[in-house]
Amino acid sequence: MNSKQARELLELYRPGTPDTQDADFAEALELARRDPILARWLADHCARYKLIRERLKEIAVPTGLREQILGEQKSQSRVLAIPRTHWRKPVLAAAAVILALLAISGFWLQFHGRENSYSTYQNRMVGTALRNYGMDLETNNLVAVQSFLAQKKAPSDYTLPLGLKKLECTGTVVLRWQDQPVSMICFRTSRPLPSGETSDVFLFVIERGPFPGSSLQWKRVNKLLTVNWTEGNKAYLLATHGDENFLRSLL
Amino acid sequence: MVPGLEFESVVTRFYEPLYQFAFSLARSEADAADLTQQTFYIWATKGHQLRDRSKVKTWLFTTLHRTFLESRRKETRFPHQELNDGVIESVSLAPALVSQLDSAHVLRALGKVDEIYRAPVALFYLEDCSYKEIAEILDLPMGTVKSRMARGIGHLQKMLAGDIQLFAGSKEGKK
Repeated sequence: MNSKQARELLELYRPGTPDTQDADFAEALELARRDPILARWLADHCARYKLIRERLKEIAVPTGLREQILGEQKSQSRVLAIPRTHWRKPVLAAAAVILALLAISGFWLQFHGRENSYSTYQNRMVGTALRNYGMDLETNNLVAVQSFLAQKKAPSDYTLPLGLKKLECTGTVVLRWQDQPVSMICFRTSRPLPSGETSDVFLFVIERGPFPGSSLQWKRVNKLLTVNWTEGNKAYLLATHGDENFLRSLL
Repeated sequence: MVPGLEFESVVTRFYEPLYQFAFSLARSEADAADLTQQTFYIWATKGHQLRDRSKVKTWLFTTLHRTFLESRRKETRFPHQELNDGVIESVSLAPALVSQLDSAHVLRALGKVDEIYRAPVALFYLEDCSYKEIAEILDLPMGTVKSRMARGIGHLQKMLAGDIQLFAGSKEGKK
């Protein structure tokens, strides 16, 4: 190996990593010890590597992300854990009974699987609203929001509830849920906002797809109260701080 | 199903590096958080299939990268193109210049690097994975990983050099 080859190889050398155990790197490093020009270049390379790595390691993880992931898994495992007890029935149970149980648990899983999937969607969307999300478009113009969403191929032909139309729109974010675009439309009420926040009401719209159709359903998710419903081919999820009466006033 | 405690310890250990990798790919906080959550969602449902527990990290990074690629494929609708071995002008930035840049500069420069090089470059800087593990994560032969990495690092340094010039120019302008 000559100095040129050693330098080409060391372009990919990362100090303080398993690279040091690699035989090729070891040979190139040994050469650098004997070649002052290569040694100088290597010192610069290592310094650059460490600086860029440090900068990238400064990427801040959103507060509460870990708790949200764990919360999502808990709601998931609750649904999946219950049917297991059915399988612990005595072996001597009649074949017909087992078949019946299988059919029932199959139906149960199918129904609750969907429910659970929607529950995961709710958790994920509420989590986004609670995090420091970045607005894709900041505007109080609802028409501009719709045309932006259409341009981004996110749901844009939604119907806003009357109560929401009276609020000031603050902007929109395009999210994704299992490869489906989700339109997040943000509003603000006249209530005082927590510091650093620009919105306190969030509407999420997604193509209904596999979600079961439903009328208004209320659920507290994390710190927000939510109501969800379906209309046409869209599934709506509205979330805000506050009680049911307040949320009703937005519909 | 992965027992709850194990799931929690896997999340605690890997959610930060996974999020950082996701952010370096997607460049949006919401997308990065979603990718990280989706990765753990898949782990919760399919992680039990992994026999070799020493490969949890590689499995998670592979899953996140695949999820990212799938979402990009659906979004962009243009075929993946392998770039030719174009010559990248070698730029060797002095470390003193790099030290002037903050995290946002580096992320912006990484965002300008061609997409096929971005994941190898992010893994080069962010993770202490061996090259064999990186090849597994990216599902590429080792030689391809190394050449993409070398070209990607060249791209990144070129972008950083451009940023440094702009940065210096704006400082001059203020004088």
